[in-house]
Order: sequence, then structure tokens, then C-alpha cells
Amino acid sequence: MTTGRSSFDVIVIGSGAAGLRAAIAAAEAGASVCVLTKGSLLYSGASASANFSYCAQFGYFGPEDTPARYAADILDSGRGLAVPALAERLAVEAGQEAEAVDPWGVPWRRDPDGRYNVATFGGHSFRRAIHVGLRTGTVLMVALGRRLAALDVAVRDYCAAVELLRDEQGIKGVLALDLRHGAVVMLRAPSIVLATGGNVAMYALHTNPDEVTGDGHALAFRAGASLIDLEFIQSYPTVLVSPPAARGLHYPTGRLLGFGAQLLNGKGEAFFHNYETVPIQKATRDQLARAMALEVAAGRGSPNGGCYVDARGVDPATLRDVHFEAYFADLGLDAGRDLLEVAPTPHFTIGGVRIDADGATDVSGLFAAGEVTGGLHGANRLTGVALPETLVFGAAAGRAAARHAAERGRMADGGNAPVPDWLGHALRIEVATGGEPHVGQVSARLREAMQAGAGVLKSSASLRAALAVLDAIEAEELPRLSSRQGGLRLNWELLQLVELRHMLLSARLHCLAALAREESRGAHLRTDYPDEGGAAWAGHLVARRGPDDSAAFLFERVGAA
Amino acid sequence: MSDSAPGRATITVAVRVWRQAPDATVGRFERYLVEIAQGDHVLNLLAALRRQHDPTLCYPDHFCKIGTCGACALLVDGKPALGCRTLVAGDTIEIAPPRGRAILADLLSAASGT
Repeated sequence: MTTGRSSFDVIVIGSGAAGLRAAIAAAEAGASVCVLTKGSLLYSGASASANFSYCAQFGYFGPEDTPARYAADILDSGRGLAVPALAERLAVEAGQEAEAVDPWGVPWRRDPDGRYNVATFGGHSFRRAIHVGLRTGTVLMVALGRRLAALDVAVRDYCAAVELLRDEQGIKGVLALDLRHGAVVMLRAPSIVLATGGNVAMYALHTNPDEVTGDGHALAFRAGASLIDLEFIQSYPTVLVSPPAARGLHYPTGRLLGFGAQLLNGKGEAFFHNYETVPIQKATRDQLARAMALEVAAGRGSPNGGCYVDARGVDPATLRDVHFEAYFADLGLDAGRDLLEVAPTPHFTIGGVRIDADGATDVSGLFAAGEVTGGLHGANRLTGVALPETLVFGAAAGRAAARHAAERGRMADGGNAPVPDWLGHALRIEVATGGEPHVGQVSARLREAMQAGAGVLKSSASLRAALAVLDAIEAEELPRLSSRQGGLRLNWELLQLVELRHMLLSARLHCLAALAREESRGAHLRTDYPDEGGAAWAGHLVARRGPDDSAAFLFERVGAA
Repeated sequence: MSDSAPGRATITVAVRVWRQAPDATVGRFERYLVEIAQGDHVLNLLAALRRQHDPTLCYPDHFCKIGTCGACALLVDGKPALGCRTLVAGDTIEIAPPRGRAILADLLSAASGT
């Protein structure tokens, strides 16, 4: 499917569910489309790991079960910051998109009456979670890939976006490192859709594929687009922290708490009731994460800085419903036998590129969809909204990008690109061995600093400590990094370097936004400002690029835009 | 990323890893001593090797790493295995690309590519 062509109507960056849905929509609208992925089609991206729920509204539960009610639940979860126009589109179209992908090969589970089987989740007024068992994300990706293959869409794999190209009129294309062919290439298009996912791989411990390095956040920021709500990163409350092979695996405890599982501190005591009045069975992810983080911070954690899930009293058949038993067995784990050591861990990037309901950013020709965007979830994401977000806004952005391209017209071919200074330096082959630190070590240092200073619980002091490490990496280490491997073809060291540069900017923006918001709200927890700040803080921190990639933050009150 | 937590028991593993340059038609095993947390899996061992010894090591790392996607198919001690689901059992291990697929570089094969 790879072609040598370098000029298109629409280029989609990222090959998760949002990217593929955007590419399909744009191609169906008649646009010539290229999908750029730094990994490989169908395997890369976080979407394939989404294991269960796609929340949509079908009106099954009476006159109150409306799209407006779904949107209202999203707004409630967002603690005043979710953008109504985005929530309304999601609520109206999530069901339509579920039906749209069905014929491409998504066998949604149905009840005997033919209706979708819908599971319940905290924070939703009605049951809305449709699914394909535990492999919903994987099945969805295969179906999208099948539909994509039936369309004439070019795919460039192992091709990492380095910089967006633009002028005063808007987007012109993208500069990319094509590792498969060993070239720095310039791909031209009047429309680009960013669908690169989140940025939680900037933490040492997280639940995502390690490739989720905030590429789109950095690309959009450097191109001059506005980003919002960057301080909000959702933690999954119960992520395994032992044994070593299981670290980073999220364990769906929420679905077990109603079946007799218990959440215990390091001393084996129940503690959730000391933090919240809601019964633990009805707790939302942010309530669980906050209670667990505070309990650990109070010195009552487990040896690896977590708590315990005791699911030993849960019926084995129920356990099999929530996790892959064979996978657990491979890792030497048995939830029916062992206490599971878990800690709240970064899981989903809530903030990101600011879009309107059609996925358009404030840079002409630049669109975005999925986790790379901000606004839909406000300060806290409701469970089961991430997958419908990819399809609803992927489709919207793909259609809008095709429309924009038809208005602007095709561009001249791109060809080989002038190499930016920093990349040119990195391409210099390091003849002497022992060029240390190398990119893997610097990335690890960044991730440890973010874990320690900008994790689940933050303070002014911890964030400043993390920023100091980021500053040192930027000033002293990044300029000295170079490749010790000859040639560009499949040069994995350069790929890591491109990712490190994106991740460094993404991490800095998160820390600065988190430092600026002097309150706790939703997923944003400050130990030095533990309470929600009320109306004074009911607004978005909007980040724009200043000179030399510096960030200017503007506080925009909700409703004042 | 899956660094071991501080204070956890670590072991040193003698690793034989298949190395093959991107444009080469032949490769060879190379030997490294890698420190990992006791009980860790093969994919995390490769990440540790890359950090501790050679940042150019190419292996299927842009994937789910939680037993779902199937992209990290390897040959571990001569047997087909998923890197993210295979624990490092002893203090020696041999890791090669899966059989019957074109090698793109080192441990990355066309199956996890095209």
C-alpha cells in the first residue's frame, strides 16, 4: 500500500482508531489520503488495547434516556470544563458511529431481543457500555483496517512526523522521518488530521504503549495551534505495580467491587470510606485514584507504593469476565489466589489540541481527533467515552479535512526536505563509542522525573523539580545526542530521538499548566491546593507558542469565549 | 516503559540476541549481560538491554505490550513466543526474530510491519 507519492489532499498522522476513521471519512468524501504511522498499521496505537467499553445512547431506558442526558453526564464528569458543543456531538453520534462500523466487521454483543448488550459504569445515568467482550479495541481496529483497505488510501509506515509545515495561509504539509525507506521526506497536503493519541509515555509507569509520546501535542503547538486543559491527565486507579512483568497493566477493579472484591491499604485495612461518602461500589475512577494516592502518601501504602485489591472472594467465572486469564497465568498471576498490588497510574491524556465540533483547530487546514484533542472531557473523562470519541471526531475531522482540501486545491509535490538543524546534528554519525548519555538513557531520566514530580499527586515544589530536569535535558543533553547507527533506514535510535523531542515539549507543557492551576479539580490533584477553587478557576488554561517554543498561557473563563 | 521499582531483587542475565543491520541479508548472535528485575518478561529485558548497552537495538516496541496485539512475536530459546507474555526463566536466554518472516532489522520482522 505504500506509494512514492508525496502530495495528497489529506494527510492523517497516526493510525489508531481516530486516524483510521478520519482517513476512511476523507477518502469516502473523494479526497486523496495518506496515513502516516511511526509504527505499523493495525498494531500501533493505544486503541487496540482498549479492552471493553464503547458508551453510546440508544434510548433503551425510557424518555429520559436521551443524547442530552448523555451529554449532561459528560459535562458533570468534566467538573465545569467539558465543552458542551463537543459533548453534544459525541452523545448524538456515538450510536450512529457504532452502527456505521458494524458492517465493516464489529460484531457488537447483542441480547436475545436484538438490542445491543449494554453494561453499566459509574458516572453514567443509564447503561450505555456496548462491547465486543474484552477485545473491543482490537476488533474495532481490524474492522477499520478492513474498510481502509477497500479504499484507495496510501499508507506510510515506520514514518515519524517531525514538524508540520505551514505559512500565513495555513497548513502546507509535514516533514517526516521515513525509516522504512531511509529518508527525510516532505509530504504536501492542504489538510492534515492529527490523530497521534496521548502523551502518558512521558511517565516511567503508565498503562499505554510506550510510543504514546505526545507527538501531536508538540506538532500542533509548534505549528501555532492552541492547546487546552493540558494539566489534566487521568489516572487509572488500579494498575498493577508487581510482579515486574505485570507493571503498567490496568486491572478493571471497578467491575469487581460490586462482586465482593476489596480495596485495602498496605496494612490490609479498607480505607476508601475515610475519603469519600459514596459507597466504593459506586465510586468513579477519579475518586478511587485520589483516595489511593492520599492513603499511600500518608505512609500506609504497599512495598511498591500502592494498595491491594483482594479479589480472592470473587467467583472465578466473574474474574474471567474482566481479565484475560491466560495472560495472567503467563505472568504468574492468579487473582483468585494472590493479592494484587495496584497503584493509580497515568492512563489517558485529557487535554490537548483545541478543536471545534468539526475537529478544526485554529490553524487553517489543521484538524485533530481523538486523545490528542482537549475539551470534550473537561477536567475528568467519563468511563467508556474514549472509543466513541475516536470514531465520532475521527469521522468529523476526516470529512472537514476533505472539504477544506477541495476548497484549497492540491499542492505541488514535496520531494526531499531540507533537514532542520537539530535533526541534521543528530544524523551526524558518532564514530567514537561511549557517546553517553544516549537517547534511551535521557528518555528514561525524563520519565523518572515526570513520575516523581508530575504524577498523580502534584505540588508546586514537585512540579518545579520536574521542570528543572526537563530544562537540564533540553539545555545540556538534547543538543549532544546523535546517532551511532549509520544510515536512516530503520534507525530506531533516531526514532527515539524524534519521540524524545516531542515528549520533552509535551511534558513541559503539562508541568507548566499543572503549576498554573492552583486548585484541585477532577483529575488534577495538588497537595498544596487540595480543594476545588470554585468559580474563580472554572475556565481553561489555553497554551500558545511564544518565541523559542516558550509557552504563553491564557486563562479563559468558561462561557466567556 | 517498565523499569523495575527501587529496592526490588535484580538478576543479571546472559542474553544472546540476533543482530542484523537494516540492509543486510545476514546477521549474527551477539552476547550481552543485562540486569533486570527478577521475574520480568522478555520485552522488558530488551528495553533494559537497549538502555544499558545499545540504543540502536531494533525490536517490536511500538505496540500494546499487554498481551493483546500479537506484534511482539519472537523466537525465545528456539520457541515461538510473545515477548510481553514470556517471563525470563533463568540466567541465560536466546532471543531471535520469528521464523519464516523477512527481517527488517535485528528483531523486527515484516509480520509486525507490512
